[in-house]
Amino acid sequence: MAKIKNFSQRKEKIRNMSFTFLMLSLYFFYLLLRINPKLIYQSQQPVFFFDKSFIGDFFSYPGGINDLLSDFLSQFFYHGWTGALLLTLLFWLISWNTKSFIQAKNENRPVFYLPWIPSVLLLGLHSDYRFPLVFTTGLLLTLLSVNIYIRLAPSKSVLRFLFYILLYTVLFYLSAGQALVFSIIIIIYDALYFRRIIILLLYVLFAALLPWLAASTMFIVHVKDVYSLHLTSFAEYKVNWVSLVLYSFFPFILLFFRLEKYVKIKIKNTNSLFTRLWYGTSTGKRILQGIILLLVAGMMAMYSFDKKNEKAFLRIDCYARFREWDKLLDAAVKYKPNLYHVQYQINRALYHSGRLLDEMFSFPQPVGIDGIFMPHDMHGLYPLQHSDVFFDLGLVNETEHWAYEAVSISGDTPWNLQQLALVNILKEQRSIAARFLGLLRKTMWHKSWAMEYFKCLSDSPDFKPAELEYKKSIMPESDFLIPPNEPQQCLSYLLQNRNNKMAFEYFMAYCLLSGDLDEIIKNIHLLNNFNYPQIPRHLEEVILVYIQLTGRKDIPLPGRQISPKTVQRFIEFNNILKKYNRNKKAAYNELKKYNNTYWFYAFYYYKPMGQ
Amino acid sequence: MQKYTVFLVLTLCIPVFIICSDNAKETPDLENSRSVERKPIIYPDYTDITIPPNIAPINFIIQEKASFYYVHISSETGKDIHIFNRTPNITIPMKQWQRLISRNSGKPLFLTIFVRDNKGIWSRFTKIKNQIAGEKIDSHLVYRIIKPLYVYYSKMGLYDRNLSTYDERPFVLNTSMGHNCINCHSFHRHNPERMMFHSRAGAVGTSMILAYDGDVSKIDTKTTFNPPTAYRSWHPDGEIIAFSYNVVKQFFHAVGENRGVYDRASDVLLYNIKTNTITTSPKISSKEYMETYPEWAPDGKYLYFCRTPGLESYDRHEHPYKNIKYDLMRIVYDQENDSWGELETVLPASESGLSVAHPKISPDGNYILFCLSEYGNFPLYSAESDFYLLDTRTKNYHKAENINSDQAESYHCWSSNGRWIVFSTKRPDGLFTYAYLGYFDSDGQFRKPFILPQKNPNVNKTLIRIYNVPELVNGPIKIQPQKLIQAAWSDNIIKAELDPKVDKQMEGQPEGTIY
Repeated sequence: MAKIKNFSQRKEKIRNMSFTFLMLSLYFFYLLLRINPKLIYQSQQPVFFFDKSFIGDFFSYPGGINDLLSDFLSQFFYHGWTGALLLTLLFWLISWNTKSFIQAKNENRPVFYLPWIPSVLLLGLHSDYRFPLVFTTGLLLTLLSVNIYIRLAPSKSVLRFLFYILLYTVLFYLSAGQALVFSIIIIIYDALYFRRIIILLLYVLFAALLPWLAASTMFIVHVKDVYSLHLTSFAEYKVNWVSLVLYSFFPFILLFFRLEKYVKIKIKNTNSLFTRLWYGTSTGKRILQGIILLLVAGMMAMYSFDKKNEKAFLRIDCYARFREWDKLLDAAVKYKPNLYHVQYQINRALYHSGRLLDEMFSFPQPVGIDGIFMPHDMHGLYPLQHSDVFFDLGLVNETEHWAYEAVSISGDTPWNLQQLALVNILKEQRSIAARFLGLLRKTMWHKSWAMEYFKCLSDSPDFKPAELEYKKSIMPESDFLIPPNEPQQCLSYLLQNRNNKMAFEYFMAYCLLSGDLDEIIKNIHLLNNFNYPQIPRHLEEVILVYIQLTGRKDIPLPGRQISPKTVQRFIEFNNILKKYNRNKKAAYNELKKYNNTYWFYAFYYYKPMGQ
Repeated sequence: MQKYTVFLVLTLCIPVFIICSDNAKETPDLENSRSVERKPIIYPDYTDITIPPNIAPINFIIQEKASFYYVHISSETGKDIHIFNRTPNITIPMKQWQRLISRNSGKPLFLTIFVRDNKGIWSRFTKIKNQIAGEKIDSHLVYRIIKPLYVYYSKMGLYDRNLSTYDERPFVLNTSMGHNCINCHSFHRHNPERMMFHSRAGAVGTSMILAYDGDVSKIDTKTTFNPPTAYRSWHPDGEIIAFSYNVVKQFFHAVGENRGVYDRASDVLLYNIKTNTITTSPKISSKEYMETYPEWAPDGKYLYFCRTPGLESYDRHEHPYKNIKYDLMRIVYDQENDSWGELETVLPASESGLSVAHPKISPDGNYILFCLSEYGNFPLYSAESDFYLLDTRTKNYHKAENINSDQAESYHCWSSNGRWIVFSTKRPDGLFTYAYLGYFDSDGQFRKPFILPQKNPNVNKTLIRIYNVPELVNGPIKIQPQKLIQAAWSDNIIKAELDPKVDKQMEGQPEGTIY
């Protein structure tokens, strides 16, 4: 008999382990392949330094330690697989704790799939790239505390209350508002299984009082925030209904199991599908339960992952950060995100891959000049990205300006610090550069980069990155003012530097998009400064339009000619227009084959300034 | 059992061994040590300085390569301090230091540094001679800690720092006040019980938080005459605060220091705490001029301020920032009758092509310490900004040589006894602002200043933090931070009333300009 029992227990264990393995594998691959935690890092750019002073700051407010923990763990999002592994591990720990919580008073209950529900909800939540890890680590701490209480709380009322005070206080200090979830679970638990009204009232009172006391006496926190911090809000992030369902799951499950006892016999006598599913223990039924869970998980993931544009943006942003221009342009073709700030990155990528003046109209330019410099209302949202174009242009001061704005907005993120380190190396402000490199040396993933660039700071550096040497050669030498709302004004100043090819191309691109043909013709001779083998296609297209409009034939193109192919296409374009009496709408379908030309843009997309 | 005993013995012995070996008091052989005829390089530069007898230990890092370090600190009386170290980071024991310097007020303080090379040979550097002043500095320093700011801002806070120790404590954090901007903190005659600061934007809105003898109130200083107030100075009697309002605009350079600031409009006015009224006079709020940086003379009879012609006077097609130059003015104020006397130009700096900012009058009223720079009123963004000292008795002024550097000198504050100043400077690196302390002797001369001591001097080199608006106070901030938070969030906002005598309405900003 005992052998049979052992065999059955072992079988049960193997089943559980197999299911756990299956779930964790699904989580891992879903996270890795669908969500891609690298994009979570891209979106949140968590900050963590292995530094006493940095770490010390987190101890000064409730919830700080959970912040610290999540900031540390979030570093693993830097690589897709480490991020997926981290989340999978956290989901497993939460499932394990949930199982332990459920089993505490329902040891004989089939709990085959129930503990996985919270992790399914978390999977949905982490499908949002902005969802902070702090909620997940906070929930884990809460569940750990609940399990400690359920298993270790003394039965004597006073001691039990003191034990509760201790756990609640510690948890409140660790993860602020999430301690309230702990309190609600414990109060319901004791109400159901311990039933001492006075003690329960004291629990409620203490749960409400402690945060208020802490905010009124010890910590510099607003009372209103102390209840919601880490529970319903974290920095700018506000939780949605999925989080509320997640929090409610635990009290609900307690109530459900307790109330179920009273109706259990009645239900068991029926032979309904629900009863068979709920109480069934056979393998088939369990598989069915598992399938239902997986379906729920799938639906949850489908529902939550409605962020195509966001993912495409983050992917493109990520390629831009790592200067993978070809991948960026491929992604732009593949995902076609229709966003201002993506257009800006596409044009950067076109320049860096040497295709801007030949192919910029092969990519839609629906936002016109706002695709060259980021539009003003976006600066505060993407300050580092805005700073990048100035860095490319050699306008180091404005790079510095926006990199510091980025520090104000998103903190001392490694990429902000990298930008500032480079700026200060270029400005030969070594002690400041050393400060940023020193901080980067204390990060998890940017240490080697910092060590490499430290070499630039010596009197006779043995490491001179070619890119920085080039940047030095294109930096402006005389001062001018840069209006933040009209950054394009800097281009005409930067053009004065005969090495600054990007300033030339961006100037031309800006003129193309703004329809300023006169400026293009006026500056076309600058082509000679940059060794173009031939006139870039879009400039050829403009010259043809200009000649057509003005009748001028004296455009200075020393040693260069417009290619016969472009001339031929221009003739064809004009013929089609003539055919339709210059009716834009009517000619659209036939002209579509020229949608990669400046003519097509000018005809269908160009809007005069101010419109 | 035996196994456990061995384990226990080893566990106990290893740390003891490590501790002993690290702190081995390997007294150098003074007789035979090699003499190095120069002062050692130490960071921060604590050489030839004058320190207050109540300052925290001036921990430093010896920037000389060695395998072992020995520092001998001594004065005329009291027990010498001996520090032996394997690392160059010198941490001076707090109690011994306090005993030594408090006993030797007005006497020299010697730092003798010995280093041992890999061969075991000791070298002795030339002795560093500092001076312990006879007069104490106020016990606490209050400053705002921010990051280098442009347009956006994030976390910031007001902190008080005990100057005798390293204790630093925040008492206002903007994270608890709806992420507002907090600035212009100020105290009535170094009294931590009477304080004000501005809160701008964020969830709590724009107002002045006034803590006055235990009460905290939230005051809206905006009236039909003025937008919310900015730079401030408490009248010595504690009932009036002189303010300027400033409509500030930033601009950005392509080369050099990338930030610039100028005012598009500004005036000076008075806020009466008791009557909650704002008043002004055309003499300090004229349409033709922009007035800023009000500063009371210690007797309260004069109000000093800086003044420049309004923007209307400049060419509208060219940015005027280089031409905006402020003169130092003063005007007689009779508090009893609330009447204004004649306006007087104290220093026509614009005539010599310079611009005055941050005039601060010494507690005895004999000196004005101020900044002169090429243009504008924000010297922190001008590397060439230097301190000048004007003698109010003779009206002569000169460069305050010993406290200037080749980087920007800016905000400053006199100690209550007039013997010390604390000031903001960018001298270490040109970007971050640090608090420096300097002694002002009875002959009217400044001595070489020194950076605010830190427990770990490296923090000055590693942290991204700016010490902004340092103010000396004569005790810790006792008001509960929670009370300030409560006031900031309060809906009970006291609206300042405009004196009916003031008939001027808020000025518009110059229109039709390109800047």
